[in-house]
Amino acid sequence: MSSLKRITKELNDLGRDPPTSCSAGPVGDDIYHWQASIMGPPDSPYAGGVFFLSIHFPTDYPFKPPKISFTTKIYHPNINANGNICLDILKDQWSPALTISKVLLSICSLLTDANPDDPLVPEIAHIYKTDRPKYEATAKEWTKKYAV
Amino acid sequence: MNNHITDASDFNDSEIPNLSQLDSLLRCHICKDFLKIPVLTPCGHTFCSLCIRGYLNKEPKCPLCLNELRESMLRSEFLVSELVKCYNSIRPDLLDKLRVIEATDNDDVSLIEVASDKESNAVIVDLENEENLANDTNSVPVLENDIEITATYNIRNKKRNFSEFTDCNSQKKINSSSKSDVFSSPNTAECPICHEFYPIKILERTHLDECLTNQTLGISSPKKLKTESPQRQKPLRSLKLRSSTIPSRNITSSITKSSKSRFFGSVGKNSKSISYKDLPSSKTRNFTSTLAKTENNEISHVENYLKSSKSRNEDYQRLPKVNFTSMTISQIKQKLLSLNLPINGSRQLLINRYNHYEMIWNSNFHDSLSPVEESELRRQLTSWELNHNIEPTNKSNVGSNSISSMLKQRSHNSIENSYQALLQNFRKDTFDRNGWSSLFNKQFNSLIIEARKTIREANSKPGSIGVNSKLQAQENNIDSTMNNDKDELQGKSFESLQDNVEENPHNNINKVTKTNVEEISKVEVSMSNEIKLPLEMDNDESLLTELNGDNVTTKKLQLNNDTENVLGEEEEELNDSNIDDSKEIEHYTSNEDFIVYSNQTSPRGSQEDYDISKTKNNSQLLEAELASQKSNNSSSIIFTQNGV
Repeated sequence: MSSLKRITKELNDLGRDPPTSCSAGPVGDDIYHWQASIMGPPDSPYAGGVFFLSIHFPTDYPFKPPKISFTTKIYHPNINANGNICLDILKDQWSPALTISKVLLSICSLLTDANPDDPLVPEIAHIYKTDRPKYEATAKEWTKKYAV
Repeated sequence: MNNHITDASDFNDSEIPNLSQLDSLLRCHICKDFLKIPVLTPCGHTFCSLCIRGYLNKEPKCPLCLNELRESMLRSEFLVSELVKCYNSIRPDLLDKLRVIEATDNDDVSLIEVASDKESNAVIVDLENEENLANDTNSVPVLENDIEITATYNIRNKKRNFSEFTDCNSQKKINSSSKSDVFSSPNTAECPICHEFYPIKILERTHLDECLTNQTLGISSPKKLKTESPQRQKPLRSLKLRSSTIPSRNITSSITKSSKSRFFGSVGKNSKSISYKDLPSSKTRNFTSTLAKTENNEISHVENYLKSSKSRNEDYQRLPKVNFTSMTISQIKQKLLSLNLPINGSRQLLINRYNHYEMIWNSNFHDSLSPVEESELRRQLTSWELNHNIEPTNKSNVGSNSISSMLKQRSHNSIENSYQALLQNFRKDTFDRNGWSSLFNKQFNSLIIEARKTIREANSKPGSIGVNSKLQAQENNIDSTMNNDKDELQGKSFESLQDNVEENPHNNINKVTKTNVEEISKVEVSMSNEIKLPLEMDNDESLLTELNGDNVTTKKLQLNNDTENVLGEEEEELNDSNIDDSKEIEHYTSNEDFIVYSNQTSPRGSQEDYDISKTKNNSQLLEAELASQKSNNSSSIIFTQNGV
């Protein structure tokens, strides 16, 4: 199957040339189900935290985007309580030329620069826009509580 | 087809690392494999015919630039097709021939035997100090440094350094003028056969083949004769070869400091020239035989390309896209029958069958340079159906069943069951995060270590030194708290832990473990030989952490000798972390400094003592760990946890 081959290739590439501050690999023996970890970017309120994500590849990957969600709780305007991520490249902007490695790096930059104009959690987006220090304090607190 | 996965980075370790770019350019961005039946889009991008057609059935846009794209816009690219085929046929040979010599141990051995009159493995060029070597080089005015390089070392890293060292020194003496200059230019490379410099592209495409042809026909360029003859006649007596072992440390330090960077790259050239000049005859035969093969392939690729326009088959019309929504099932069946396709299965199955057949048909008869028979297409369709046309629900069940059976063989049923149970709730609020993280604690930890390693590697690159120490300190911070995952799971908060630390009167000792003291069944520090690490504090209060090594084996001492020169950096890192947060407790397992084995209670509360005396007896375990860490060549921090 083409998806299997492609996923195996990506796994192999991750081993050869791992992206900075991210890592990913299959859970158990299921090549279609991975988990990944992202280190909180140093210039963000998530610094010092380690965030885990779960990755599910559809059988028609890479034609369809992988399903990625946080398993670690995180306070972020574009990530909801279930860990779902609002990121264009995981939805309509997905392209088969993208790889898990690139997606993880995009999520990293989403942590640094949230996108409050397209929020998944409007409350957090509101605080992010109106009271930035409060947002950062809460994000730090959550990071300390759940991700350290 | 090759079972192992090829990648552009295969060439990173070769003598022409830039080939990795060529390699990745010839790959499809959808399947990440080499282009098969490449087609060109109006936006100028190239993909495998089947890949892009498959994607366009779902999204009508180019995967690379996201511009609008339809199947009818695709045009076949015969040139790229033949390029890829040709490249594929020579790739293994290229990789093999361009391998840096340190990887070819077998060749080395044979060369050593030739070079040193059967003193082979024991022979090591005396390098005890730099002066000695300088004398050596002086005494050999026209030193053909080739031979010197390949002699000796079996340990790869050292060999490399060593060869660079000797190489540059002799280069200095000889003052070999022009070549090294040419070589330093990034886009040229030396032909391994005639030793002339050419742009890489020319070298790959035409020159190598010409050279090889000349070689097989017995025609040699005058230049080649000139360079080779003195070497063959001149024995190696001028080299001072002694069978003494030297502390490798000396070599590494002197090399890295002196001239490694300046003369980097010349190694490849010199070692290369050896491998071809001194090749045993059997090898040469091999070489010529592969050459003949390549040549044949070359011709066929060119001819294929030239004949391509004639061979377009006009008998097979392009299959149209069909709108099935308005068709009855019998109409669909009729359509399939007209193409000699099976008509069993549900309506959806029939539609999928036609769509896929249409795709491979058009790809085969309109994009491919060498189309296959209709019957072969039908066979492809059948095998595709076997893989793809299972109902999605069934499929996932089949998948998870096979996983579960595999897991059951390897681990406890309980783990598997809880994994399945947790997975069910994954997308709901009731998802048990703590259970999940405890279940996969080990995997998570290894992921963390991996991620941290990449950060460290990225930081160790020059240019980011400023950030480096800061990040390192931060990382150490994380390190020390990482093991708390489990504590947290048991309901203990990180704060209580810090309180615990602050109450500790000896907060100037940097190696107290961070978990609750009563939970640690045993902490044992086994140390390298009497290394003292002075730790400067922010408030100018200098600390001295004395590390008492009691169970150090002689082997370990040796290892420490090897790594002593790394210690300077290690100390800096330690200092950084202490300045940053003096009360933070460090928990290291690092061969260069000290080893901390800590045992923690498993989530179930059962304690498994990890007796350090066991480790003492079982020194192999330690050795293995040390070796593995050493190979990482970093002050990696590894947590040894029991009962996970």
